[in-house]
Amino acid sequence: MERLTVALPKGRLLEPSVHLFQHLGYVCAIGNGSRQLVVDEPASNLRFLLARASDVPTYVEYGAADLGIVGQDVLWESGRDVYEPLLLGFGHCRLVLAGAPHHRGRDFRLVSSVRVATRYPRIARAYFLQQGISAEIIPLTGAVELAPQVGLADLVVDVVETGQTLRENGLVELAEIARCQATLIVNRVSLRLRLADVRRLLATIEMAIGSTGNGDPARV
Amino acid sequence: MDCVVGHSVLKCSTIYSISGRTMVTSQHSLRGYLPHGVQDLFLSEADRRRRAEAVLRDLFSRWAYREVIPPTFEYDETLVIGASPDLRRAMYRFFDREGHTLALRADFTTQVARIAATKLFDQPLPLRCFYIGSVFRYEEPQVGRQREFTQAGVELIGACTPAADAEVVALAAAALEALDVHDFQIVLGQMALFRALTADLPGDNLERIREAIDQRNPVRLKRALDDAGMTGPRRAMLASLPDRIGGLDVLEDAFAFGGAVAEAAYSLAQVYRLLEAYGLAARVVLDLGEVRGMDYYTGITFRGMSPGVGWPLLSGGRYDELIAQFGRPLAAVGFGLGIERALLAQASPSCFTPLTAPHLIVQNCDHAACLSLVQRLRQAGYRVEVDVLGRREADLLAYARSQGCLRVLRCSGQEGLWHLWDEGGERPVTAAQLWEETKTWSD
Repeated sequence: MERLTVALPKGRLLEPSVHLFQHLGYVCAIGNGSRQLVVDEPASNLRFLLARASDVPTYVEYGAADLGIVGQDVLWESGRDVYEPLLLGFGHCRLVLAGAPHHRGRDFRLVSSVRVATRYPRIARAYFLQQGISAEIIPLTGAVELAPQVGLADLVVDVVETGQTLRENGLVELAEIARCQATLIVNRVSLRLRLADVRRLLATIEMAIGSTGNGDPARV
Repeated sequence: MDCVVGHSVLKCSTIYSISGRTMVTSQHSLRGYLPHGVQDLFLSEADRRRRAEAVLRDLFSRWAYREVIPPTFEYDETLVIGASPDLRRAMYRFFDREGHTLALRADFTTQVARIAATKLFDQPLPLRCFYIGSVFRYEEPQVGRQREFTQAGVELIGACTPAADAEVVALAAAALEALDVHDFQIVLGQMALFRALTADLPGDNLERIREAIDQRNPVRLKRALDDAGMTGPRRAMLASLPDRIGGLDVLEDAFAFGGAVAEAAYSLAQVYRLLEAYGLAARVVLDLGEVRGMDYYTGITFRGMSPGVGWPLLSGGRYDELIAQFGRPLAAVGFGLGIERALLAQASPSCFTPLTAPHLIVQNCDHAACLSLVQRLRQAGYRVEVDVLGRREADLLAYARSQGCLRVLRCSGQEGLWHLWDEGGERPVTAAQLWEETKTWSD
């Protein structure tokens, strides 16, 4: 049988993801600086591939990877059709709406249009639609906190961990859109065709999360 | 978009940019380009696709299904019947000169349902129909699926029995085998079971539960069940649906529910046993977490999957409520298969590429005897090309080699005698000798 392939995201979730697999006894010699993008683990019958975080859902949806680890924020933004059987209890963050302090308490429904810079255009669009706010979404790929300071946008939608970056840029949180953490995703075909292997891996990960107690219990 | 069709030149204000630079500007001619999502098939790829269609046509006929050939477009208000919101959004629409909205078909099933209800309703039941043709969906192209892609499928109409369900699933498996897909599984679900478990829930709660099961997301599922106020064995059953993948054991405790739940479980078990009798036990896996298409499917659902292709190759199920929308309440079960996607899972892709090199290339000649020999060879089933460019020997031999053809025939000018070049060099042959030789020509 072919090896199960797990897509790991570069960036902030990589280290805890690698730790998780090391904790399970895999070698998983991958780091953010890794040049090697595919690592075989013959002993454990796994193969890891290292992808840009926002590409992980794509690898998994197409079946190029059977499983993947990704932040829920990135998963929702991708709109990819994958299974989400397990929350991993690390990489907690929040998706928030933020802006200059004078926007606090303002009712944006009464404004004809508000400009919002974000790395999450899909999530932002859905949020404003649901809130009944007309918004003009300006998609950016990074450092969105800059946008309100230079008049590119009134507000931003972004993830915060500590809120430090917002404060440093003179922004305050106006509303929480969602709470996110790292989640395990599975290809729809792999779950059925590699059921035994996937289940075994899910069970080991679940046990590891439970025993280290680092975060929410994933399966309640 | 400002499109002017004149002198068959299509001019569009189409803009796409690479690193911020506009590559195709206003009024740039698109002549010679294809729109996103359609493709040309030619040479061996065209052969392969036609071969796949022929194999399926032959298979469906041997299972006593008859072909229906509906039109490529019809009234939008017909085609949207039974279509999911996603499918409705994906339809190509346009107007006729009376102002009616027309649409390209995005699926065959609605058309077959219309034909069954409005034209074939007084034929003896059941009806067994199959179709093969293009469908059109305005979606981002995926693996093995452009915006125009080829669907082949069957509908078995007017029979609501486990035997009908099992026949269609078995035929789906046979279709994949006929397409030389060796490594596949049929995932079999039961929408009736989920419907029965959630029968009295309000739509909002129901949809959240369905979605969480569909995503196999236990956290979201728990929350949705909490919010719906579900308790007891029904809750336990719903909460465990995402994990119920396997053999008949996944149904074990469902019989204890009695009523519609037990009935749904029982009929699924019957279908499973029939499929075992078809010899498909190793191919079929039950999956009670398969809850897609709830507005449409009323009984079993199934998908054909193959490792390495991230999407199902085929999908189908029982839909007993669709045809009634055309005025005749007829039960039905069927499946549709994406031919291009299924071909991606072929064990040996070359097996559908027939040899197309000519057996013989004949130098141009105006003798009746030469042309009649050519015709007789063609009638006997050999591929024979006449060189209409009038090449001389050396050029013709070089051309023949480039076409993968091993033999060239030239008129000798002498009644009943030709010159044949092949691997053995050049030699004179009579018609009788040539016929003798043809026995050694392979397909």
